[in-house]
Amino acid sequence: MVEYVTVTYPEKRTVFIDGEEAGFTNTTLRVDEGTHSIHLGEPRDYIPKWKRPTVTGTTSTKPMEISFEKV
Amino acid sequence: MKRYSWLLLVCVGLFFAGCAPSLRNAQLDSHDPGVGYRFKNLASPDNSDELFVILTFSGGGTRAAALSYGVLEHLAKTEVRGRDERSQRLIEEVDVISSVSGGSFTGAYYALFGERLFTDFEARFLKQNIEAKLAGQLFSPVNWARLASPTYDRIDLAADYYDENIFDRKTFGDLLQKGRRPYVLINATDMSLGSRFVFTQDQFDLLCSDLSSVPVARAVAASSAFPVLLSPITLKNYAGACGYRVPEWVGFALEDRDIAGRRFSRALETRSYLDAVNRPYIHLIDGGIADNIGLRGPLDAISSLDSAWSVLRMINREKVRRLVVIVVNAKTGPDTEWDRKEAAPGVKDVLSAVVDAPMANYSFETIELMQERFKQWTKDYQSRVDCQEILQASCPQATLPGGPLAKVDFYPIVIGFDSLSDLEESRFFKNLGTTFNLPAETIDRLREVAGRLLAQSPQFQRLLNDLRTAPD
Repeated sequence: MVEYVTVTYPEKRTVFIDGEEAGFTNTTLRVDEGTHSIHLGEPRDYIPKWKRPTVTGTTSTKPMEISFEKV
Repeated sequence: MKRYSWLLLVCVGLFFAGCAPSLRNAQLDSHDPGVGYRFKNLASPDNSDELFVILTFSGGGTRAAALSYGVLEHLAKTEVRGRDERSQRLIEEVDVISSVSGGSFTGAYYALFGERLFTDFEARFLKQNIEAKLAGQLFSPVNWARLASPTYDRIDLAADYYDENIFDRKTFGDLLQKGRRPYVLINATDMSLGSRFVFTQDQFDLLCSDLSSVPVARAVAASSAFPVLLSPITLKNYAGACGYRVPEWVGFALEDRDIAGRRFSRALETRSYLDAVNRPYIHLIDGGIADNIGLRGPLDAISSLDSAWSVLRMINREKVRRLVVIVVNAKTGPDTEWDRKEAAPGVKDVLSAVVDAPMANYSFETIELMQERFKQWTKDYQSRVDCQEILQASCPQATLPGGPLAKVDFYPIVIGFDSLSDLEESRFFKNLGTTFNLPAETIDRLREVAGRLLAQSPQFQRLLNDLRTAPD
């Protein structure tokens, strides 16, 4: 089952999901249903350091939003 | 005299037992994801990621090998518009070949030798009576001594024959050194788990074993080690000896049994290889037992970020725009007299039905799963586009939650005898046996029909049309 997430951040950055490059910020990404670790890699100029959402029940028109703030 | 001959044979066997070849997969001293036979370590200088082509070659002995050969022949003759408007043959765009059993001979040969396939593969394999050659090896007194060893079995004999006579003693290290796609996934079945075991360094990492020294022929032998007829191939599991770090997704997936069953199951399989105490040896049988069309691995790669060669990652990063999956399925459907007679079918017929029916049903469901996923993804993309349009019609400043979703065009192409409209012709192919010995004229017919089925496939025609008309 494919699920949809959007990782928001003020700039375009690479999104790391479960330790691997998986797409870019501010786009809608297709992911596996289930739990993931998400962060933006280097430089670590964002908070929180990482997030661990359980992604389920999303649609392409209403992806799960995961936000990082620039520090 | 006869008694003494047997005694002599046993003595010779015991003599050779000590020096017979043992397990042939070496230990990996230190895990390094940057080296080894992996997708990311293969270059693609003439191959565009925008057009991503996956071929899957099913099991089915020489019948399957010839059918997949015919598809490659047709791809070699098909020109499309490639990079920089240059004309390019579609075969050069093939990124991945996932193969099982008979199909593994063609897939591995092409990955190793490229288009030399079209000059000598027929003579070396397709039109050879491989069964007679293997029987000759089995009945050769020279090999009896080797076979007397507990670490040398019938499958080793087959692997050694393929190694010497078909694959020129090439190893996965040679495949890696070639450094080019297609990435070949030779699928076997883990006998204990009943699940796929693929000859890639990513899989061998779990065993802390170095794939580069393993002969390609050995992988092909494992992939085609039909149970009972051929013995399993055994690998040593060195897990824990190389500093391997388990991928992050495994830990998460193990906690998600109730919401993501397939992911949980993959994590369990992955974890089982890390236990070298309880699984010091891994026994492999014919890849057809787990998946006779070789499509499950590619499906995982297309729809999961967890796969070591995740195509989904490439889609999310907008690298892949067109995804072509050509499934070459040599499934048969022999005529039977069972329902014309009152008497119940015999043991041989019952066994045949018990083996063939589940494999065919699983293959059918796998193909349906692929088609449904592609349709669903296309609908999901279109829903987003449609909703955005409706929203903006009433509220021009509004946007949907989330950002843009990468667009992918899918081309699922299934080549099989079911697609033949001529029933007599279909009957001919569906009654071919699963054997490594087919008449030369049958091989030629299989090659021809493969090319014809591909050319006539509506999805293949759509692909060619889109490639001719698409803007850059």
